[in-house]
Amino acid sequence: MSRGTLRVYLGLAPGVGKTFRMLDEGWRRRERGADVVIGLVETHGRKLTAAQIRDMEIVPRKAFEYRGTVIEEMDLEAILARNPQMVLVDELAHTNAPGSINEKRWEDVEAILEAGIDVITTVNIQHLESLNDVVEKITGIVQRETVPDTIVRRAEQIELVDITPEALRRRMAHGNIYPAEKIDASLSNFFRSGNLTALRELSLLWLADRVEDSLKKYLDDHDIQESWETRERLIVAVTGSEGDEALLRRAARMASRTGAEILAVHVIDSGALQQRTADTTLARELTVEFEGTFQEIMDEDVATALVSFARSERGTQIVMGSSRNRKSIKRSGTVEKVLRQAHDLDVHIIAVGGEKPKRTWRRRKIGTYPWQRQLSGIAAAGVFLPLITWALASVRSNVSNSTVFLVYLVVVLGVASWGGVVAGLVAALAASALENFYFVRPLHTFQVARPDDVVAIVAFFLFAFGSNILVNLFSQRSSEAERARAEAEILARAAATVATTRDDLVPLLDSLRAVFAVPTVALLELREGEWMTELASGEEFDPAELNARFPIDDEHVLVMAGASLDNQDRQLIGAFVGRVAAGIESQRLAQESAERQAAIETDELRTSLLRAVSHDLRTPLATIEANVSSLLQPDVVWSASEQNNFLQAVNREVHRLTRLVTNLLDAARLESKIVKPRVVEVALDDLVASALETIDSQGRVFDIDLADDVPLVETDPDLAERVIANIVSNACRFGPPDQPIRICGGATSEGVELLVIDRGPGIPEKKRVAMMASFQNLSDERSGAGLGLSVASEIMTLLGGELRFEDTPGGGLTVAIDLERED
Amino acid sequence: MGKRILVVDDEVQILRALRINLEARGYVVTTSQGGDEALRFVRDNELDLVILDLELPGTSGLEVLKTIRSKSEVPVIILSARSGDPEKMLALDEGANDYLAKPFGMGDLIMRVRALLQVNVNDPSGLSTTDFTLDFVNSVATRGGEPVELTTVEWKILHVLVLSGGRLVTDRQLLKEVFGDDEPHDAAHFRHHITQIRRKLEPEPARPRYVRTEPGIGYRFYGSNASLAGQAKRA
Repeated sequence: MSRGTLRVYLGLAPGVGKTFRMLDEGWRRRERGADVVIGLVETHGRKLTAAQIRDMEIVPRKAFEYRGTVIEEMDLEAILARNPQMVLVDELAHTNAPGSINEKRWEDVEAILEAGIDVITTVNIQHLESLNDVVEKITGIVQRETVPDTIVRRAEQIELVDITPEALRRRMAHGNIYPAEKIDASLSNFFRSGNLTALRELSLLWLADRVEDSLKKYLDDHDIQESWETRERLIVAVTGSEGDEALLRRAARMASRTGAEILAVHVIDSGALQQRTADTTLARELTVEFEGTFQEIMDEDVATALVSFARSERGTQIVMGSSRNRKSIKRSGTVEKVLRQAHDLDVHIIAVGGEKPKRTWRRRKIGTYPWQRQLSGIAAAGVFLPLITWALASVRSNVSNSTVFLVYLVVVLGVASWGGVVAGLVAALAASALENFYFVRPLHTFQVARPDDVVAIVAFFLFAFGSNILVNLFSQRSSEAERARAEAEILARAAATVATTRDDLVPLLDSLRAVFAVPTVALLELREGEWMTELASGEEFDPAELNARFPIDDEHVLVMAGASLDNQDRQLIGAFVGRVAAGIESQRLAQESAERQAAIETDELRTSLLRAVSHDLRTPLATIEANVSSLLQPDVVWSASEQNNFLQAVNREVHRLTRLVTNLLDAARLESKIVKPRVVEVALDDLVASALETIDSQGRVFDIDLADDVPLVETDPDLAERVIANIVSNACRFGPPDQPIRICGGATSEGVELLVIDRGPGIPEKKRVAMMASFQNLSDERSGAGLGLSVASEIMTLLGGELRFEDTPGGGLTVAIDLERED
Repeated sequence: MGKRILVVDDEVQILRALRINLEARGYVVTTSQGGDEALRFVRDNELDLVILDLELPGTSGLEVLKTIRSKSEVPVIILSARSGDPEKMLALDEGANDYLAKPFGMGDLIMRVRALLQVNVNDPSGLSTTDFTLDFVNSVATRGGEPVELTTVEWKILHVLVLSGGRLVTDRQLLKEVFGDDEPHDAAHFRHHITQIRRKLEPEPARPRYVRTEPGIGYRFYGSNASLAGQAKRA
């Protein structure tokens, strides 16, 4: 027998018309001669849907009795016995009543399909397992009933019952979906237009099987977890010239169109011989005005630094100015270079008038030495070369020319290694000239008599110059190696840090500060619109003065004071920032999930509370009503003793209700944590006596045995009394009526212990923990006991004591209440 | 003319029930649903007792109590919403004479009303209950016909409690009356006297019938004439 086919009507929300469509399709098949029956249809009281059933055969539902109510479920066995060609089954994700063959309706459907019967079913998008989380995030509503995606995906046909959110809301408002009293609340909750749009898109995505790759984007787009990465970022290259204003204003206009963020950057050319003090004040002010951030970086290659900065900051577009002043060759060169390198970035070149930059400078590629050092190298050459020349000249007869050349070479290398390539070159040229003038014949002329001397001088120069370059390369490499080592170290440390708390990040800040030799590194957090220092390493600082800011996310920024950072530094810090961001994110997620968990638990609590309490409330109310209405009957004249009986019963039930309501109120107050214990010194026997006065002992005998030397206890008398009353009350309820309940107490090494001992059935050890959970009931007969116990246990936690459960030797339960003793 | 009682509560049904009960016992009852109205009435009329709910709309019960106490020593019984209500302690500190937590039995209320309205209780020379007798003049106590030895402090405590005639006596009051102001006292030691009294006089010391405690608040003696109404069976 071949498996039946499955057809699924997928809806984005309740009320889109799935059931209607299912019935419609059923009728279409039936009119074509198929044997179609209804396995189960939920009309939810919707008239149009009910009318659509018409006279189609319905397999009667099966009734289950569960906790006093009758639940009707689809009768799987009857359907299989009926064996039609096709069954219509509504709400695939439904959970069956306990006692059914399968736990879930989709399992029933599987069984029907296995039997070779075709099934048409309906399911809502929020019930798909894989979308459960997302839907919860969108709507804030927890869906408990889910169906595995694979079950739905296996369907031969999935049809989306599509409807625009507006149309659905209209239908809702007309009362076609829910009864009138539920409409307003539903429209403002689940049926919010935004929700419906989101659910609709989600449905379409799921159908296209593109949820996985679209999910992230989807969540971002819908601000479900706003992420800074998704915002467009305009990198604006400012130069400190007058064109900056035009450039920034233009960029701001572009940004406002796309909602982008402005990131102005000033690249200081570290290769410039003359250190530039460009005036970026205006650019900074404008950037702040446009709500952007301003950064300064230093690099010898302006174009590369700019593009690399844009990438590391996840910029999407670069905006830079182009001067029409063609003399500014360097600028246009930079523009071209940026254009060549920015493959995936949009580059906007804005004409910014003809003014020259405030200062022009010659740029020379001369290694990484600061100009002061280079000048001092040249000066050293100016001192040492004449000195050596004088010394060698005075002993000229005793030394060969090769010695002279070697001594000069030592000086040149010394100068080169101190002052860099330029100083080395100057020294090499000067040394060659001095050799020629003072030591090569004919002396004191720049002429050279012998050809091999020409070769010697040229070789000297080449050798000196070559060594100069090698020395420089070597020192550059070694400083790079030093830096790489430091970087590796900080990255390793960052990677090894498990940032479970904020303070875990402090060592990272310390090492950053050390590596970049800056006075301060700090982590700022945006709180109520102001940047507050969350963590800091180093000196005190004024947040306004920190010149390098690295955004971590919308609410956190890493700031460093006192450093101009080059591009390589930024990359390292970028990696670090990534680590910090991950730490902060994981802390946030942990917090969120804890909150969500708490919300779910509260929800579950409410449900079980309602279940437990409705029974306990109804019973005394019913008794009271029966007795009071008897008294009010006009047709009977009750005797005094009969009246008294009625009134006694009412009185008893009122006390029962009072106890229950007190416990409920206590539970609620404890839950909301508004109870503040008022701790005083009280006597244990007073607590017991006054607790016993509040309970209905049902004629039970108490065997009270409190030691003479029991110290006073330090506790809140009202709360402690509630604990004792609840525990004794339970003992009365479950202990056999003919056995006394023993209450004994005495001092222990730590405090005072009160034991309430019953001879009832006891509680198995494994159930004891569960019993303490709020509103947990052991069984239906025990209903209400759980509430009292849970209140007692919550109160004990509040009082800093403990409730312990032990077996009574010979059978029964012993509850130990630990109280604090006076000092 | 009967004693005049003002009942202040915002719940009409409670007011009705209290009025019926108090009037049936011969008191003249005025009811008020709000604090401001109650204060006007207190200002313009002579009263013998005020029964005051702490949870009132508008001017709170505690405020009403403070205003009453600022010019009058009229006895006040506080009705509080919950047994663990911290307001209850504040009210006692502000000079309320007694309190009752809602819901309450009518017997408990009538007992408190009677205790507070006793005209100048004469210094009792003695007391006789079904379980024991006390002769304060000769310092002789018997229980079931058998003589019982009581210490001086125990006699003092019993004297204060019996004199109070069912009114609430706070811990502080009792200590002050028994030991005087200056005596430093040890709470545990004092408690020992209470335990001893119960041992000697109560038929079931662990569940005292006469010398009752409101833990953390004070003591109340059941057994004087005024408190007999309160002996109605409690839940």
